[in-house]
Amino acid sequence: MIETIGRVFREALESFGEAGKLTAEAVRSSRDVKTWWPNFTQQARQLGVDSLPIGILIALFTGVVLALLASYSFTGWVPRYLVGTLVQKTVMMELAPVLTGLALAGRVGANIAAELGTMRVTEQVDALETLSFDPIAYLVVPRVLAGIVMFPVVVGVAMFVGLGAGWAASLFLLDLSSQEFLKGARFFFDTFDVRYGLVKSASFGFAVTVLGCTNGLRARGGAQGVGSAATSAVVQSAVMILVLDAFWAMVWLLGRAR
Amino acid sequence: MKKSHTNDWMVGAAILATMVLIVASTLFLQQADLGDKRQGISARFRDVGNLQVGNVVVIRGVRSGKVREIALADAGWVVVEMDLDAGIILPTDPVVLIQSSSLLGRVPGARGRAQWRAADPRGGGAARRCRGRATERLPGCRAPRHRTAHHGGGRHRGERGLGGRTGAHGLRRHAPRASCARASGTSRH
Repeated sequence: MIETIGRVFREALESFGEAGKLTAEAVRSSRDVKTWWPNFTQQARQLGVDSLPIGILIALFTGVVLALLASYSFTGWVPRYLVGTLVQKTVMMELAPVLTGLALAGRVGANIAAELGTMRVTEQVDALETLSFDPIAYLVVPRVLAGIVMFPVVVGVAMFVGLGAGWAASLFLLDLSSQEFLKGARFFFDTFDVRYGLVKSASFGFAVTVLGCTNGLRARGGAQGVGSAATSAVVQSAVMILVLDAFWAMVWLLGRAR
Repeated sequence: MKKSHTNDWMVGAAILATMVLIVASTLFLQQADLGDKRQGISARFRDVGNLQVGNVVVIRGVRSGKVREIALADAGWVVVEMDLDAGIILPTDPVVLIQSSSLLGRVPGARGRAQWRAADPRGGGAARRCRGRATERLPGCRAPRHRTAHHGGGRHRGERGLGGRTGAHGLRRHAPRASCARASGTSRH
């Protein structure tokens, strides 16, 4: 029992340590632009553009539910235009980045880990080294950069869609006028809300891709090893997203709160 | 080769479209008027409380501008520079109040005294800034009839409150607004 706890803890720490090591190697290899650049847009398309539908779907339902929830909660003394405020703040600062991040952790993290894991167990990574290709520059750098660039794109679209869905729900499902919703959304709006959500999502993109690559390149054995690498990547990415979410809140929000 | 071009195009289009969406949404929510001339006014206070750059300026309940700059001035004053939308004609003797908006429309805060403001009602874009001690008659400015406006209790007749309930402290940081109202209105002391 105690040994199991110790082993699990050690393995988790090892994984994060290896992620740090891989990050340092990726920074070094990023100078080899000729190797990673041809793969960058392909990865950006795969990780970002192809993930747009899931981001939009999540934001659509989130916006509707938030508007209904706010309307249900704000009864009596609370003015109803605060539905707009709640939808705007919550979607832009929290739900769009975190929910989209968690969905992409499953989609992107598992995809990267399975792909690189299969390459590792079928010795394709070794073959790259034999052909004097830097596997980090060729496999890791384009994925990590694509994650950093494309996560904010997906989250930006999700913010827009979520706000629009909340607005539409207020208009068609609640007895709220456009003017009231916009009054609430505009009254407490700050450009910081957008910056905060986008920067946070870029950090999520970095964490998800690095952990996906780390677990993929660590895969051993056959199909079972690839499966457990994908599982570990998803679990660690989800945990890391929540940790980073708390980190940004403590570092950035706490500093702005008086 | 063809696929690579398609990827490039798709990624570029997604990035550009998202940038446009984000910028347009931000401008829409900020009610930014691009290229519109703004008129500047400045007001002096003893204490600006929680007022921050970017807070909205409201004239009789209508959002009409933003706080551009807050700076310490001599003789213990704080000068607040505000940008008002073009075309707004201020009353002859407006009083500038700093109010924290809560769900009830007011939150007790630091007392501030709106000493004076200068505005060009024709929208020339330049603010006349008034300096001097509190007791002095400021050069180039007429003294308002009501020179004191108390923070938190100075809601004027005809000015709409926000309604709702008090105690929403989570919203307070965003709340302070500089609010212009007629000096001849009723201000409670």
